[in-house]
Amino acid sequence: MRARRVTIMLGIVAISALTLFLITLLDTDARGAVPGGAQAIPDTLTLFEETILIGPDGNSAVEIAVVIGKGGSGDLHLPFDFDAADDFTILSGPARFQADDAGIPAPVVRVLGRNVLNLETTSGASAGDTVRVSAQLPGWYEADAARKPFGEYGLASGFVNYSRFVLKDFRQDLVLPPGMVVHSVSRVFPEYDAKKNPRPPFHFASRGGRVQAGITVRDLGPADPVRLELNIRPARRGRVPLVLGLIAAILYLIFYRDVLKPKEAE
Amino acid sequence: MTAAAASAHARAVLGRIDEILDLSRNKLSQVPPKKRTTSERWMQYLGFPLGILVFLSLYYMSTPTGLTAGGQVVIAVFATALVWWITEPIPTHVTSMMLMGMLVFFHGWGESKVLGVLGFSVIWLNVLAFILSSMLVKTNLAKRIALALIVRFGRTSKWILLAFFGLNLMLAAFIPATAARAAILLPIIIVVASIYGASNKNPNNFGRNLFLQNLQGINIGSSAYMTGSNANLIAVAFILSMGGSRVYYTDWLFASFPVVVAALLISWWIGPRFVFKVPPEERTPVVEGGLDKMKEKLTEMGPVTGGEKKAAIIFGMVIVLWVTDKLHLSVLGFEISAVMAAFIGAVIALFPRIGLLKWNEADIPWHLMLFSCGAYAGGLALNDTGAARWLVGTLFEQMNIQPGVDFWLVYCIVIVVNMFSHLFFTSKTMRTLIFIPFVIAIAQQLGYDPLWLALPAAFTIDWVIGLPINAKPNVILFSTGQYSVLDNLKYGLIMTAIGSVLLIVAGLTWFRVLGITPGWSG
Repeated sequence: MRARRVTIMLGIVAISALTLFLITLLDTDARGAVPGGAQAIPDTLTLFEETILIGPDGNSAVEIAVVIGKGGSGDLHLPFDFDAADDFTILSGPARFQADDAGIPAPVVRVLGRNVLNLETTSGASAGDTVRVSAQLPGWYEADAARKPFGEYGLASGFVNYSRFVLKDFRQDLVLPPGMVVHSVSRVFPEYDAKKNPRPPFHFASRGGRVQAGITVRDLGPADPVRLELNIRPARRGRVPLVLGLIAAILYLIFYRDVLKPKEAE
Repeated sequence: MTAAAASAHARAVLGRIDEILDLSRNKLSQVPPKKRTTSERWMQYLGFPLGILVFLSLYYMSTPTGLTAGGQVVIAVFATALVWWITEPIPTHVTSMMLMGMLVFFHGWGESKVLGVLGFSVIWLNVLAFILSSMLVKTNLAKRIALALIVRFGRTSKWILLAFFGLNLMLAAFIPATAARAAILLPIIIVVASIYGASNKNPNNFGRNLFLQNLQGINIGSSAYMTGSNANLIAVAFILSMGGSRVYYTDWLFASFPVVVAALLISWWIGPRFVFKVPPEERTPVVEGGLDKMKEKLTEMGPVTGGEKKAAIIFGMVIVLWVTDKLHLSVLGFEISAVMAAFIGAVIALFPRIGLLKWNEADIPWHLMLFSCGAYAGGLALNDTGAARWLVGTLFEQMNIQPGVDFWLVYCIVIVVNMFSHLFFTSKTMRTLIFIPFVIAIAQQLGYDPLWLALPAAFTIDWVIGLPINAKPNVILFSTGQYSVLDNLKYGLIMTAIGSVLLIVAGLTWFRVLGITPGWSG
């Protein structure tokens, strides 16, 4: 009698488990597929490269290069997080600025409170095409306001991907004013852990005799932020350490000659 | 040395055993006096201006591409300190303090970071290790163990040296913390050294061999086992995550253990014969009555006292916690780190009535802690500013290793560079984090299985034997004042070169049999 009851209970449990398994198997939505059966592949830009060239007086220029990926034709609204910019130019590529209501090309428009580059691709644009845009950024970097101890200056650049695209390869570079070098990286986001990924996301290079510092991030999704904060300083160093160092070396050679004499123990 | 001079020396050092075993006369907290040779005096005289010149030339050169100006400052400061640590124009701990000051004043690293190094777990572990060590000395447990060791193996100096190598290999299998192993052995080594006539006031070649061979045993011994140090495990994790090869405990053991044993045996053989030649009068205990007197003294000590038992229990508890670290989480629900295990032991040892030690009896060499702080601050600043990564990257870049280069040439370069690079690092973990990914990347770039280069490179990680700044046990043993930085460097460089040859020969033979390096057909 008791054995029969146990058998029935086990049967109920087995049937319940099988039912749950089948429901999970058939519920495609629960496994990440969209209704209709097609996988949702986001629109992408294969490359988004933003280079800010900082002039000696703080007036700067920005160059943006994008390589169109999947779904990149049509509206090409790109993040453009600069408040004062002018002299927009499309340097190359199958794209043009969209016109406003009056029919005048409007390089920048506000979308959800943010500046975006108001581009659209021209007919015939396809994946793999590169669009290059430049603009002037008057007074973008105010060195006096960024002054720090030890003769250094702060320099920060951020980026938030408020476009609809996934940026497969995002790169932002800062070309420092002539005669300036990077002293240190004070903050970087996304943060990196050397134990997990030994390659830091930031990099340094030389560009036309000027120092270039940048950050590279793979697969930057919509709303993902990037930030690089640097301390920069003039490449030329003061002469005080040189003079003090030489004096100390000479004084040591004069006043410590006795160390050459043998001693029992010091 | 002539027979007469040798006899005179033997008479000079021959002493009463009670005086020799009285370790309170050789306090580690007091900076020992130093006798210098003529060449050492010249190095001392020229070392200071040389360090300044090194600093100025590195500081004023134009900042290379890829390096920050802060990183350049750190390289300049660290290189200067290296020159001063080796030539010793100023005491090593003062060099460390100058390094820390220069890092701050030239803005190589932040003040709070520099000063914060004194609170690092590695410094705490050193302090606690010296407290525990003082307990063993005070209760005479260290003396009893040392006497027992000498009575058993100490008929001549060579057997006692071999016994320590065996002890180190055994301890490395159970205790991954190298500083902990140094703490266990330190008081015993000091007593043994005293019995053979070596003290900080009168260092001799037996003492140099004893301390430096223990330094090698502790560090290289870690290389025998995959769990021998945390850095080994990090390297294995990189080989899996970046190289795609899983390395098992036995893979590591079968490959590295024979190399380690061979290296330690070679060191044992060449040390007293060629590196620091031990004269005949230092080959036997310098105690009136010789070994028989030792046996008599051990017998005289009588049965183990209550204090010794208590010390053994406290120290044994700490060792058990060190050995069982992997089980803590499952048994206790939390992990007790090596530092906290020593912390518990030190608190009990110092606890009034329960413990064995008063604060004034704890022999803590604070000058050594400052020396360690400087070394760690320099090493961490090199890592933090990206300067270490830049240096290593530039080094490999300069070698211009291109596809098509013979594998064995690349193998030799990787082994030699990894081996000798330890001289410029103060942390094995840091060196692993920087080097192993580079090696894996080179292997991938050249189309080799990353395991072929990365695992042999990982076997070099624990070979940190060149300078007192290179590892925690080195600092602890250096505190005894029984050898100089130059002694350490000399023996260290010889053994590093031998280690490189051994790993290259193993790569060509034994590792091929094990499938770690490409086979004869490949």
